[in-house]
Amino acid sequence: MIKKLALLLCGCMSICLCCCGPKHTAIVEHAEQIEISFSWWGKDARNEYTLDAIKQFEELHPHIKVICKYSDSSGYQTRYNIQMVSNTEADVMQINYAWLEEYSHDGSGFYDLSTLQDYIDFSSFSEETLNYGMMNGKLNAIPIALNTMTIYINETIYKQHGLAVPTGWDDFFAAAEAMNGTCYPLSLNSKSLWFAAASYAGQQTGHHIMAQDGTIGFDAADVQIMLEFYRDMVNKQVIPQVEYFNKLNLESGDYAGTMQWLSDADYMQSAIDSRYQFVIMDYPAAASDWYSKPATMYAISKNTEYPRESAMLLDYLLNSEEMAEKQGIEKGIPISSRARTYLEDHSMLNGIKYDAFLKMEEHLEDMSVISFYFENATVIDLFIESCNTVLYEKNSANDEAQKFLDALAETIAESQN
Amino acid sequence: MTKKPKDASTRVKQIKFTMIIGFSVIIVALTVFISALTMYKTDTVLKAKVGDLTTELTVLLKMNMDRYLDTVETTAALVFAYEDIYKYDATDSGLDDYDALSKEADITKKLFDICVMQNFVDFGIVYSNNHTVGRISSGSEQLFGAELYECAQAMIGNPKIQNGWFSGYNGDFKRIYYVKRLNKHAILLTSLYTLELENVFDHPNNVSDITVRLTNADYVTMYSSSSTDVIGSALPKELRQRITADGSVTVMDEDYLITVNQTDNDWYIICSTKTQAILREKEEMQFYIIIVGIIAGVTAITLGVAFALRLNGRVADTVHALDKKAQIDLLTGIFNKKSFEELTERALSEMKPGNRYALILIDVDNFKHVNDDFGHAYGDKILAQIGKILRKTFREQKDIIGRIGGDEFCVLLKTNNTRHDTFMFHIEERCLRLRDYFHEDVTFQPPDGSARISVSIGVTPVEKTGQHFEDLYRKSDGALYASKHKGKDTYVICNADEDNHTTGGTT
Repeated sequence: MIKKLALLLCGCMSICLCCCGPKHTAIVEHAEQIEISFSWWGKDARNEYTLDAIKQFEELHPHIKVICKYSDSSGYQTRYNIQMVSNTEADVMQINYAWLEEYSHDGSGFYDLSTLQDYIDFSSFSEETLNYGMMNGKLNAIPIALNTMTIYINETIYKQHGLAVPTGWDDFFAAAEAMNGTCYPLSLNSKSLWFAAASYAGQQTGHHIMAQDGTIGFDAADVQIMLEFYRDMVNKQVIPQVEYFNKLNLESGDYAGTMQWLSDADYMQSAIDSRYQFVIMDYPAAASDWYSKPATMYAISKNTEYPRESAMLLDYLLNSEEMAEKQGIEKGIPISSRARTYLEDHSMLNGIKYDAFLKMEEHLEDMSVISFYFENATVIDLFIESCNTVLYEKNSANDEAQKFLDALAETIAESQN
Repeated sequence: MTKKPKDASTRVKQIKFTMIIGFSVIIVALTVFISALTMYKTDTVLKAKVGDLTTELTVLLKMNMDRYLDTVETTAALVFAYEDIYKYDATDSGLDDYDALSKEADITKKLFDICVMQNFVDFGIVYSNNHTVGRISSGSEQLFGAELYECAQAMIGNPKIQNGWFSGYNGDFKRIYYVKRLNKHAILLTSLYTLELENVFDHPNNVSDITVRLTNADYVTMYSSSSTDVIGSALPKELRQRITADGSVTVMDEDYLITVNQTDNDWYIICSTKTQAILREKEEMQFYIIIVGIIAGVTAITLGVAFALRLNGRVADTVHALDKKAQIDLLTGIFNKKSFEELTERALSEMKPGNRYALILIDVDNFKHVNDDFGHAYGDKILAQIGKILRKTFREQKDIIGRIGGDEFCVLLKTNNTRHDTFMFHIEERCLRLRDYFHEDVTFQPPDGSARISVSIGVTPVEKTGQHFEDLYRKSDGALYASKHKGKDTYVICNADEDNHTTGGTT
């Protein structure tokens, strides 16, 4: 008995000594931390709530770390292009509708989301809305909301000048005379000018600036109308020069109207909150001369190492109550039925943005879907450059129109290649 | 009352018990001491280790922060790669509008290119007439309003290099600004969201419940990993009052562990955790130390007890044998005088009412003659035979039989007789049987045919408790004397109450 006990004791001591010895190797297994990235563009409000939402997503999924890459919309496409060309794009991306054609002509530029149906709830989207993201039979992106250019009128200022809410372009010129330099009846940034001028010219000539596949429908005469339209609007104080557009002037009352994306209706919010009444103007052209598009879309990189986690993030961004709560209608009225139901249930579908949405919904069926090439940043920069050339009389409108038309054709051709 | 004498096995048992208790107490005390020492050292080592870890973490975070600030400054410095940017003065009234517009469009494009991969909120140039070029967010425009240029100018904290870092204008800590003067009328304004610092201060959770804060030089919190902190508020008082030195320090007391590191732009990165949170790990270790202590203690005691029992068993056997030897008269195989007296005294003291004992004193007749004539060897033989006869006559296991002198023997006869006459009969029967044995055994007939060896017996019956050996011996001796006087080879029973003797049988 004693011998057995002694042996047992010796055994225990030997084990202890072995355990304490220098050759002991400690192996600690760590939970795998997956790192994915997410890129978007936007203003302060979007950046702030998105960062906040991502933090919440990380709390819900502690094994996923999301690296955020974001900036203002101006210059964003350059950054995005660098990432796409160098294959360093984020795993989950907010993309523009136009980029589908630019980066995924044959549908292979982005991950085929239809293969991730276990992680993304597609039932929140109609087939029709999912078709916006279909490229060559592959689901490349999912739209967040639908968008169109909307003209917001400060009814209070118009009334102060004895004016009714405009119904067409000519009414703005009349309003400018009535306002006599005290304020601008309308304001445009470079993108809305491009949109307004194209619509205006198309309304005049019955042409469409370009077809869905990028075929140019305008001739030099049509472009000349566009350039002169801008020149006249600036010279007659209908609008300030686009370079000087500042949304803070909407709050101060220096702009009595503006044309912006439906999703940017928030620009008016401070003015509405302070003292002004804004209304949505009827589109100044037939619905067929007015364009709609998905506001922004979410896509997943074709190079992602973590499609499952990326899909989880994408589903969170589109369908989760947490994101719906934070995002509200900042990006427009969500297409996701789950997000929209949440907003309805919490009385978050209201205000001028919702009014603009209802206006769009009224005409949506007749609207043309915007061409992929219409929003090309280079095209818009070239157009603004030509506008200024004509405005400052550095070239004739006729010559500048042809010059722009050539540059436009060249840019589209480059994009298609 | 006299103290009862203890036999050797009782004493051995007592020693064994004392040893086990003593050993257990020593082991328990030793285990407690070692455990307490281990826990104390664990506490000290753990505190030192966590202190080191936190300091290393803060240094790492400071390096991250400095690298991040450096990235912003380096990106801003790239503006100086373009002379047409940093020399351009939008306040120059001699500029042609169209040229200015074209120039600014070009500057904007270049600025976008410079910061294209950065998450900057602002990256634009502010001119002294508040005109801006590049990316100036509406948030910054709203924050600074018409004082944009003045504010940017005020942010220049380093007059030599003409740059500076700032946050908290009008209590707004959402953005962190970096400014760099380009020319007399132009300042580059860069900003990033404070939330961006989440990535800068991201760290592995190797230290429990640590809170990372970034404060400005006035200890106003600009960033905190704790959701309960209010950005823009002063550093919590309990932390601030512990940071008594400037620059990089580590403070650890009963309540907090705090490490402070100063960044290149004179802000502070402060990591703090409650000391109790650090020692939470110690509690877990304490638990294991206590468990190991208990297991070690129990094992040691078990083994100790087993060893003690084993050892004591052998000791007890040895002691018992030695004790037996010490008690027994080796020649006759019965108790010696001392043992007999002790055992008899104890038996008398333990005597219960109803018991009836008798002290029988036996003297060998004619023994001196045998010893003198036939030598001690023969005498010893006689004595040994007497021992045998006594053991045969009386019940060795119950009665106490002893040799109390050279040829004098004594027996304490124990009976349970309830009646006096039966008891007396029992005594006489034993005396007669003893006498008969002596008569029958040839050993007791000397070779020379001289007088046969016989025994004279004096008996004192004991029918009451509280008697002592000395008194009984005296009475029995008297009865023995009477027996001798009557011509030997007979027995005399003494009247227990009186010193009268009753005559027994004779030969």
